[in-house]
Amino acid sequence: MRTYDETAGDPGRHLNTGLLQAYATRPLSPESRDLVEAHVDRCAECRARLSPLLADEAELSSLWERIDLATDEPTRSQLERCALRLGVPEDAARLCAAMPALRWSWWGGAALLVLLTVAAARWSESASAPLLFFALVPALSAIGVVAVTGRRFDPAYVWLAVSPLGGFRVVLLRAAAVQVLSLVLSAAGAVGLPLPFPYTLGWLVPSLMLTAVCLALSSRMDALPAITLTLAAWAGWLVATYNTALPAATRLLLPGTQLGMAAVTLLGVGALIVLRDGFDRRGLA
Amino acid sequence: MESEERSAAQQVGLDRVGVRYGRRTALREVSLSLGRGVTGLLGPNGAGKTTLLRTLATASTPDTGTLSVLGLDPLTPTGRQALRRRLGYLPQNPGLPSHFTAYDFIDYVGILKEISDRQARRTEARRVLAEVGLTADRGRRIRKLSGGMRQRVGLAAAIVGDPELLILDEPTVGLDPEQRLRFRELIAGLGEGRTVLLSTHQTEDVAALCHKVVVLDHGTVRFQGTPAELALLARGRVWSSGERAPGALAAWRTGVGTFRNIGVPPTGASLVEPTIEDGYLLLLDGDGDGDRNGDGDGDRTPADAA
Repeated sequence: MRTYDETAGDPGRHLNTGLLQAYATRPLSPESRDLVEAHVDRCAECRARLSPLLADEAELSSLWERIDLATDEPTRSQLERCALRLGVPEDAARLCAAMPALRWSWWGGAALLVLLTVAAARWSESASAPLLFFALVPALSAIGVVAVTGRRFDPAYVWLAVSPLGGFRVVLLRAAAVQVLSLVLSAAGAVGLPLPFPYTLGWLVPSLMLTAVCLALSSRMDALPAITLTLAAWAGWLVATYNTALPAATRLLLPGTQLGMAAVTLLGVGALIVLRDGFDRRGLA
Repeated sequence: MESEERSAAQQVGLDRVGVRYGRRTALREVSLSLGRGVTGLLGPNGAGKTTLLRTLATASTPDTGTLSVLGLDPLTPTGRQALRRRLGYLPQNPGLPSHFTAYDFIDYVGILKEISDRQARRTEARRVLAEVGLTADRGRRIRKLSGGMRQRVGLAAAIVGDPELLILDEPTVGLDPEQRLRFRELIAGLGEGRTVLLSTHQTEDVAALCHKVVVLDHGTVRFQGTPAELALLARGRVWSSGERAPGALAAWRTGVGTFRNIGVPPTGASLVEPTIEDGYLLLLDGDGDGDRNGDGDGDRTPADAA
């Protein structure tokens, strides 16, 4: 026969009446509350003893609802918990958390790469060293976005492909999540660049441009050729415009070039909107 | 009477549907009509079964032909989205995020199925996990589940939202006999009041579960009818003998030591009752293109069999 547990810590014993009364009549510490709720969830006897102590049916319903939610609370990654704390809706955070690419390993690798390019820009004697940062950061951003939107990189893509929620909405959501994180990472790295202020933001428009172009291409082809084509064009343009007489040895930081890239970004976004049905229609084909 | 009419009503209709992958034709002018209940889709590897199921599940778009699924046209954006709300699809190799628990994954699929209310999603997750017998294992990570359990997670995901049409692509492959029996029980239960299309290599699954069977081969429909009618195709073409018959299309030694032969029996042969498997083997191997009615589509109907 089990005895009432004065310490309330032994799961093999029943809760003492004082603790149950305290639970029913006044707020308890989170630890004590969790202890009581976990116990009454599995112990019919304590549940029966607690019921008459509770003030009314509404409170009882609220209690069971809390226990119910706590019992099947989905496990969440740290990134998902961060997103929830920042006010991201639960279902949006979960849609992003399903992607293996949105893990610390990816972001750790990306941060390391940004750090290395900043270090190269600061401590290399070559005037063209910052170019590495401006070349890699936008590419990293686009790769990150494609990695979370392409079916090749999502083991559970088939469930998305046949869902009423639609591929395009999820693609946009995941792309936005990765883009925001990439921009934060890039901005943090840009602070360390040995260049004056307007130039340190030179990566922003190219990042958006590569992402928009890549996503627009992804609506019509697999993610791998889409990112390959985009990055090949990007690398080709950087090589073609290499000029040691310019800041960071590239035309990238010139206002005219930035404007041109902003125009390409808008074209990419327009194409993405026009071709959005491709994400829903293509499915697994 | 009314339920009979409802079960007989067409839920899935395909008219001359064709799908090509580059130069390879996966489906060639497939026409089908399916009602409520469990329909089995039989065929050898590469017959086009997965392509057909993907097309019906809106995961792939046909190059030619028209479709009507639950009265909707999946080739239009609105029809496709409306259909996705009413269908469940278990793919042949269901990709599951291994870092999720079974419960997490079903919760995720609930979001994909537009169940936005948190409590409603949890209730639904509990329901489907209980239906496939995974309540006790719902908190285990998918990477730690056995193959059979993962299949059940896939099936649970497919029935989230209580779909009217359930498309299952080889759900029993890789399962041991006991797991297969459990799956059969599950699918039989799910087939009550729903339209279930089940692709399989196992003629035993068809015999146990299906009220209708469709045989696909080389992208064309070779047969559609009841399992009994498929078996009937082999009536008078199966016999037993003490040794392998030289002219048999297929022959194998049975457990009692005699040979079971399929083909054209010799005079005086000891004929035996045909099974679905006999009919299926005879259909695919017995007469070349299987086109008895000479219309070029190779489609055999119960009338042909009779």
